[in-house]
Amino acid sequence: MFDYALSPTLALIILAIFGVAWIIFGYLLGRKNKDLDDYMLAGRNVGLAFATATAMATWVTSNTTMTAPQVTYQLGIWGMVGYSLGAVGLLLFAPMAKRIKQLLPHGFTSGDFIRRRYGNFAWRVFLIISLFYAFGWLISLGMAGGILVNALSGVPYLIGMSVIMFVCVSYTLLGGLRAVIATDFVQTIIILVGIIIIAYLVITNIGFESLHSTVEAENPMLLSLLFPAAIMFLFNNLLFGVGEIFHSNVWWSRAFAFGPTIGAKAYFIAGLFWLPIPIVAGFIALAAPALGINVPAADMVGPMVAGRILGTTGAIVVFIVVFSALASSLDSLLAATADLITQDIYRGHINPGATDQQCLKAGRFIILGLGVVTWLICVPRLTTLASLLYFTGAFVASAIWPIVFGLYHSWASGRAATLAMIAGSSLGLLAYFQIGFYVAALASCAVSLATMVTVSYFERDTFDFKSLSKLREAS
Amino acid sequence: MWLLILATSVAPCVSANSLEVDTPLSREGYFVLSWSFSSSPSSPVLQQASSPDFRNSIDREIESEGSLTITGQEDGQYYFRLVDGPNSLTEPLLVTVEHHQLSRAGFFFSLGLILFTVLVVLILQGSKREGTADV
Repeated sequence: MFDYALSPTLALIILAIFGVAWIIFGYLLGRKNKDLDDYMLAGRNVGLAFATATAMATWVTSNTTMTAPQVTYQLGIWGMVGYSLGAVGLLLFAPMAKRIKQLLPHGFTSGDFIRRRYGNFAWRVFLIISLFYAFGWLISLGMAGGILVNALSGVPYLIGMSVIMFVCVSYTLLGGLRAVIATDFVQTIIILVGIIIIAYLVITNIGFESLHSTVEAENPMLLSLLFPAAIMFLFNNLLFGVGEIFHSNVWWSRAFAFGPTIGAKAYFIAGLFWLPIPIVAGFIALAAPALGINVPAADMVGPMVAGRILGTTGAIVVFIVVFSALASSLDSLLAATADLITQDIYRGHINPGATDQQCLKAGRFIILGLGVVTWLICVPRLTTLASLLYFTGAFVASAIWPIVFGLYHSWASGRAATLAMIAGSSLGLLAYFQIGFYVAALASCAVSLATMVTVSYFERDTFDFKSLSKLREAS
Repeated sequence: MWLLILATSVAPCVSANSLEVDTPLSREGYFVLSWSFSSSPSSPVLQQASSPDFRNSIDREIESEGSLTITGQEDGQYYFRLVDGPNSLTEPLLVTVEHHQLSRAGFFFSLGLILFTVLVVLILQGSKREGTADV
């Protein structure tokens, strides 16, 4: 039988301590919320330290701490480097955050921008993409919670996943974005300190030479710089990360929530801090062959190796770090997706005359509903984390150009944006099934650019950007 | 009717040991093997070899039911089987690894580089123009 690094009791005690702490924290912070702006956007005046911490913590997800090892275990050195290129999304979003705040000082969601910039049809296509992605990410986070707890302690997947979902839904429900950002701040400190401890323990516990010679003998392609699938993965992952950040309301809601001059700096610093984290997280996967670990599913490799080489203390650190990373992303995504549904579906489609109080109430129900639906989909554990995540790449990468052209160029038309998203997503999916997950975002992005430029060339728009800041429909 | 019920109820007892792979042709050098036994073997081992006679095999001790992800394999044919001591428990399973051509990888790499360059130029240019009449 496999020896687990933690006893189930210890794992559940850690979960209980942190879970209760986050929920109390959320409750205390939630008492400060007075209106919709407070609940959804933390009063629109978040400072640099909190802004940087929440951007970084949200981007350090279970995908960083668990999928980075998986991708390294499957695609080797290039997989590890490619994963760290996810930082480019944050770095490039820095100047865009400033532009977003300038164009939409009273905006609530990324959907707000698409609707006003491109019209209703493009907005609805964008909403489908955005919600599909949000669910994909939510499910991957929920699954990661269950997998983590199971790999480190043997606690059944369903229990670990359920506890983590319950904790995150509870404090997001109680505290809104203010609680999300405050917990992100604490979680960032835990993640950074934890990663440094893990790196130190890995370096002192494993000899580089034995690790290298075992991988070279048993898994030679992992060290090869001419690994075809891994070469394809490099820019695919970069563009996937860009697509995730550029379109997702998680990042837009923060751009609205940060103080007027804060967004650009916060995203830039967060990107720089994030860059080395997947390298550290991914590296430990290469120790699996040297340790003779039989890895049942690739997404379990990170916690399994960490548990084996780092012992109980290391496993506790890993557990806390990954739990914090999970929680910091899950809460952000719950809050941002609830905002998107509240503003763009409830207020945009179902009840256009809804007051702020009605939206506040609807937002809380939506957070709860999202939690329940995500839990239900997580239960059967249908696929591995990377497969699920990169499936959504075909969709999100198609939204990159509509966002970028839409923010900076008046000639980009609504029809061009709509067709770019539809054509990009379709061809991206085709590439996913015909070639592999490592080209879906790349193909989608390329087709979307070609469509966007071609259609806009024949149908030039003359959009007035000043019209965006004049409107304040949502408030 | 009784015969049908009897046949259904005994079916699991007579089912053979199984060793399966998620994809018989891997384009990425990784694949997942999964197995189960009809009765518990004393010390089951998964053997991997580059020929069907299993000379110079790599042996891994395994649990009675489970799966294993194998990664980083070069082009070639890989044979797997389950054994318990000297007894072979399954037929050899063949997995072929045939990586994508480097020319295809180079095409996607170049495409990615071009897209990335266009993206950076657009954002930097756009940010620079902020505050002008157009924006």
